[in-house]
Amino acid sequence: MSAIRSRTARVALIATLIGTLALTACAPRSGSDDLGLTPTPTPTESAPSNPAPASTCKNVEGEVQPSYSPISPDSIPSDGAIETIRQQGVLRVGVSADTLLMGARNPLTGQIEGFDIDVLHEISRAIFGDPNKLQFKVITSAQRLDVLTPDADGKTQVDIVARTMTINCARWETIAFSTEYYDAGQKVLVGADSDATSIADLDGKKVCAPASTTTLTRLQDEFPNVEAVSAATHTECLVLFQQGKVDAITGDDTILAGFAAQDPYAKVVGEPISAEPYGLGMPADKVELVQVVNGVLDRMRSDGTWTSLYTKWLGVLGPAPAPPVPVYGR
Amino acid sequence: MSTTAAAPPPPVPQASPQQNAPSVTAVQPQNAPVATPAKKTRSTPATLRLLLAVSVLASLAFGAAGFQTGSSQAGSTADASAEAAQLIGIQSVRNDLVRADAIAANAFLVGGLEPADQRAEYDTAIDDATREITRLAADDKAGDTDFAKVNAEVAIYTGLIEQARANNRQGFPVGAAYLSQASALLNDSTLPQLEALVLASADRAAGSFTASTVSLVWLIIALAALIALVWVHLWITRRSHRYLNWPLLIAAGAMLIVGVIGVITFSNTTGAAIEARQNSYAKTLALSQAYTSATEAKSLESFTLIKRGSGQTLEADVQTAISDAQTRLDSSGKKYLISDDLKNSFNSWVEKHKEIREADDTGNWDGAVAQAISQEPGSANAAFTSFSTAAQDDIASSSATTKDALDTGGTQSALLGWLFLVAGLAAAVLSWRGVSLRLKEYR
Repeated sequence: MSAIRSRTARVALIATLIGTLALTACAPRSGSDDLGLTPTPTPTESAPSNPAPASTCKNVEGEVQPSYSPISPDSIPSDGAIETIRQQGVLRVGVSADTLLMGARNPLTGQIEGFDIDVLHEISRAIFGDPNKLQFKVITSAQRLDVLTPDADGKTQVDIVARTMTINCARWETIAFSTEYYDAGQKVLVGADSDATSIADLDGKKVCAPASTTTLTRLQDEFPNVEAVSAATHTECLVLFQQGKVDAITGDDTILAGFAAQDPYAKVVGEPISAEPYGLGMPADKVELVQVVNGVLDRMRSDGTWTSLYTKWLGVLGPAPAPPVPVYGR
Repeated sequence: MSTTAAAPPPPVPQASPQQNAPSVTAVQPQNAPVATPAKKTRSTPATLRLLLAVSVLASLAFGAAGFQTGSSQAGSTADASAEAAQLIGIQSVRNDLVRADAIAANAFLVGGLEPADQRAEYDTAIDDATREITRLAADDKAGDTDFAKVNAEVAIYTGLIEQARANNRQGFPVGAAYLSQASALLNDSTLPQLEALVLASADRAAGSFTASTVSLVWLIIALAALIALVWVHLWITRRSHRYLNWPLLIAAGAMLIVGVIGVITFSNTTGAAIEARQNSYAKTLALSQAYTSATEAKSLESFTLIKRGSGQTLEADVQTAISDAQTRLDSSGKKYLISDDLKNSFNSWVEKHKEIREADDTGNWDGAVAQAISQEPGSANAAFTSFSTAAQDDIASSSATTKDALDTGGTQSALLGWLFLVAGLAAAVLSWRGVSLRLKEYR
């Protein structure tokens, strides 16, 4: 009797056990299954950001690449590139927001200001009769050529780049430049107690420069004994410098002057190791825009605007020199 | 089978509950007819003495196996419950840090002096995160040193933010570079470490969930012990021509009753664990991950604006985070249900986000910033806050449901384990008495 009971019970017991174990088999297994994570495919090596096309052209030391002949802002043709910009209502400009003195966001007002920015305000005034028709796009040094390169529809992201950009023939192959509006030179910033007087004294030291700049290229080419460290922007170099991760920063004197103004334990030393003629970058096919911008720059040179802007922003570098002489002939 | 069962059932394998299935099969010949030639080689009292040992050991094995099932099931459900709580804790640290980063970034967006209430909100987020890390590290059973690393990095992070603030206050643009370095530290190192900890914790929880089911295997030994006892009873009744041996019968009956209750209870606990894993635990994970993705999207929005016009690359990340959150909030085809209210409140923030991006993309940066920092009702911040409150409530309630289900099951299993032990001991005494009675007849 008990045998029968136990046999039935046994069947029931086994059935229950099997049932439970079967349920388990249906349940998800690992922690990542519970989290619903899909296995990520091993990331394919992302293509390196397109390097500057190897250029065969040569820059002649002490000579600036010529630009297009100017059109006076008073006689802008009523059709063409300028009219298109007038219709879009704003001038789209690519600028820096962290290069003190040239183009930096003032943390107190939230406005972007500096020498580059004031030049853009002058261009806006010439085109619209209003200095504030600017639409800022903050870009890094590495983005300067990209934002001026037309996409599939032939549109560029901005109309003008004013971001401490050196005129050189390699860049002239993809974009157009205005005439030179500022004559910068590459120098080096070191700690206040450093004995170095030029980059040549920094063999074996870590020197920072922003990626995709002529500065970094020159540092790597001409000073192979210096350990070049690249950062996304100049200001990130300053952070590395303040954290003791690099010993010096090399860059244009304008930028370094802005750094020295932010850090009393830094000083700018030596003579410029290169000439860095700054120009405003524009899309290669907007010749008329370049001509009008050159006209505006001419007027700024002759009516004293250039000198007053220099004094306003770069007076820390000393009294204003004569404005750079424009070179035409393209 | 019956011929090979010449030797009496070996009692030794029964002695220890550690023995498993193979030894159990040796006892199977309980169905064997009495007519085995072997029994003639041994006198009846000798066989009875052997049976005495078999039945006592079987009773003890029954008790021990049941106790083992109960305690290991209680242990593994408790582990799963603790690990689930740990996992949610790690996710909340991650969310606090992402939120703090977004607030810090937002303060830079506003320009000028950092508003005091935003500063306070940042402090709260960091405070919550560090407090939670300390608690998690204390509760951590795996002994992960990564919590210490995370803690150290949070200290570096807050240091960088302070430097960013100090520079910002003096009007130095280098402040923004400190901010982006802090953010990079968080995103490139701290958050991936927390994600690894989440995954490790989920793996341990998964292990505990599985262990609570696997512990049922011990019941096979209990079942074998029961069968052995019944077989002893049958042998004795046939040999002694008495139908009932009361002590043995009571022992077998008690074991049967406890065994049936045990199987039901243990299966219930396992069922509850499996159910929780597919229902409330899965829901908790989905909600918590959706909330994390949403917080990340919200935080990235500030960074797209800081980039001022160059935020498109980051916007792609925002969209990835948004669609991840939306996928996880979609409970269709799942065993759990996530309320439409929650989904709608997230989507209403997504709408506000879209407006902000449109403003920035069309060049109205000032307008975009104004919308992004507004705290007014109907603003993006208000929409996100209402989503965030609802999501956190839902996470808390579904994780409480998980904990309840697991803890209740675990307690019942533990109790049943003790019941098995008591039943096993009682059965051992009873069966000793039952077989002894027969043995006396031969003296």
